[in-house]
Amino acid sequence: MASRENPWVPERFDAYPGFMWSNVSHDLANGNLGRTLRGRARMSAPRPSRAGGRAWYLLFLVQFAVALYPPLYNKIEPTLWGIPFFYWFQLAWVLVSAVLTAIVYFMRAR
Amino acid sequence: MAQVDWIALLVFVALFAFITWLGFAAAHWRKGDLDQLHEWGLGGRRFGTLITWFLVGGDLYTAYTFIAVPALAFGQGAVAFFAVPYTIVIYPLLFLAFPRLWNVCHRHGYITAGDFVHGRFGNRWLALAVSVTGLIATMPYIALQLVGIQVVIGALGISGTGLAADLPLIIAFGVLAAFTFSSGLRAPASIAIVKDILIYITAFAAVIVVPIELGGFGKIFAALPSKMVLLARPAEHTTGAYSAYATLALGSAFALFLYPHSLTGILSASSGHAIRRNAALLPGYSFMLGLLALLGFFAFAAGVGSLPQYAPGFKQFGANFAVPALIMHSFPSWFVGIAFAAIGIGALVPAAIMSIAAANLYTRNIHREFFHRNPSDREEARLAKWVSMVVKLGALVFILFVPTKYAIELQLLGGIWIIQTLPAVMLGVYTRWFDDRALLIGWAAGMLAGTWMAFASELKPAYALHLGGWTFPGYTALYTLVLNLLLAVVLTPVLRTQGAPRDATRPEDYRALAR
Repeated sequence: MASRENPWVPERFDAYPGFMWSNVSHDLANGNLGRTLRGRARMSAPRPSRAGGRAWYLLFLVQFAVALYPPLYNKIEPTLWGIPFFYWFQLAWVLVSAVLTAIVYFMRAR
Repeated sequence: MAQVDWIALLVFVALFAFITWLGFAAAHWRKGDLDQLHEWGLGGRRFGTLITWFLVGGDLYTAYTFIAVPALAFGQGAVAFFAVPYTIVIYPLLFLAFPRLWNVCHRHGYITAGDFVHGRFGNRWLALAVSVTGLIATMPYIALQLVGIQVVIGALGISGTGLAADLPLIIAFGVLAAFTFSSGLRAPASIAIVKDILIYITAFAAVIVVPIELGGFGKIFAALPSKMVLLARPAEHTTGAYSAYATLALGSAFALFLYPHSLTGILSASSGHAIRRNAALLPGYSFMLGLLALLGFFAFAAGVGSLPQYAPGFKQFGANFAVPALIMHSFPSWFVGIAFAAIGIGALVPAAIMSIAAANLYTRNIHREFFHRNPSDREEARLAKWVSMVVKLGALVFILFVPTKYAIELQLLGGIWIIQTLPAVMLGVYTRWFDDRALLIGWAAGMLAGTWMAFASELKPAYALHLGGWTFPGYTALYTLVLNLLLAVVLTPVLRTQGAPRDATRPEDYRALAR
């Protein structure tokens, strides 16, 4: 059996430099999310470069949620150049998603 | 079949000859010592953002995809568009997990998922499970690429009896085998550039020219039966086509980057940054795939299915003949040659990468681990070259002597199998929390349940899950992944032994070096 007190907390927390919900929830709790989204990383005192603005990852969730919820787009109207909404919306969402990913890239790279 | 279109054939052969030369010349591109496995099998990990874009694009968006997705639209309508949300979801996954995987693989010289799992979890049997799953999932995928070539060769009007009928396919594969042997990953990387440009030209030309010929998009969609245009609205007490569509997209996305050939393409990038940039640039291909899916509707509206000159093609290849028929129906011969070459070459690129990936897996994780412990670099690279040859030969024999139906069904099973490696590979990149034996049990349960469910639903991708009076039709792979994960999570605390787990990697190995 696990010898540590809580098996759900990783033994080496620094093993997780990637996505951490705790940052997002921390931001939410402190009312900082808005500031994060406006670019806290640039204004604040030097932080470890990789920690800047993990809230940007929420943009990935937006991509997922819209793409994977068919009731949202399973309709004909409005059509675009005769193409039903179902098709042009999903094609347009490919482009929007690419832009959102690019935003995450640039914000994380700063 | 119909008579040979000589102009189209000439353009087709000329383009094929060009990429054959390119494949051999690629051995000298960014020259490295091809007697080392990472040089032959990963191109020396030297491809920057642009080459990675071409290579991974050519690798993931295969010729079979370009034939099969429009064919699905042609036959069944809206459901074929699941390929679009699918290829939207893959890129955040690529962005998040794979630069970390690239870093740790670079640091430790890993070239396969099996290498990584072995290092991370210190369990050779778990590594073997991951490697064998990769191999058996890849083999039918290679065979399907041949189907892509077969369809266009058939459409060009080349026919014969017995061996003569298969000769063009055998020649194409001889060419593929030879340049892969001599140049390794550099060959598909250079050819991918040609292939992708041809495919983009074809896709955009078709999406502009055909609707003009047919009188606009409005007319095309009006020609479709209304049940093809949208997903069926779910009845009471079922999530119906909606959950099938969404889980098919999500499950396929989880599976995609676990395939050995995807990993080979990603690991050949020169940095984690090149991978992240590509997560934002590769959707260009997704957009094109969506456009190509529409070609299935164009083919339907143009009525190629009932034209007598295409009847033999549809008889032989079924709905897969829809796109070739539409192209021949709508374009002059010289362009038909370009478009068909795009599809044919588009089959060679992923087939080459898949055979290289399979060879890497066998050489590193099966042969070296279980048969011959300390090969020299030269021996290792030689073995991989020969294994890649054997793998391709196996695919060729399979496609010549076994009905295509089985390759398609095996590929479906392959998706269900490969997703079972997600906990060890994709979650392993983030955490060493899981116990290796728990992961192995979860994997085994997922493999067995997935295979059983696939047969229970008559080898259709969706399985109807009944729960509390409701029916949830969904992608079998995703359901069995949940089972796999549940077992791994529940069994980990039970099986965990005292002391620190074995792990050859350190947390800092997963991070990019400071620049």
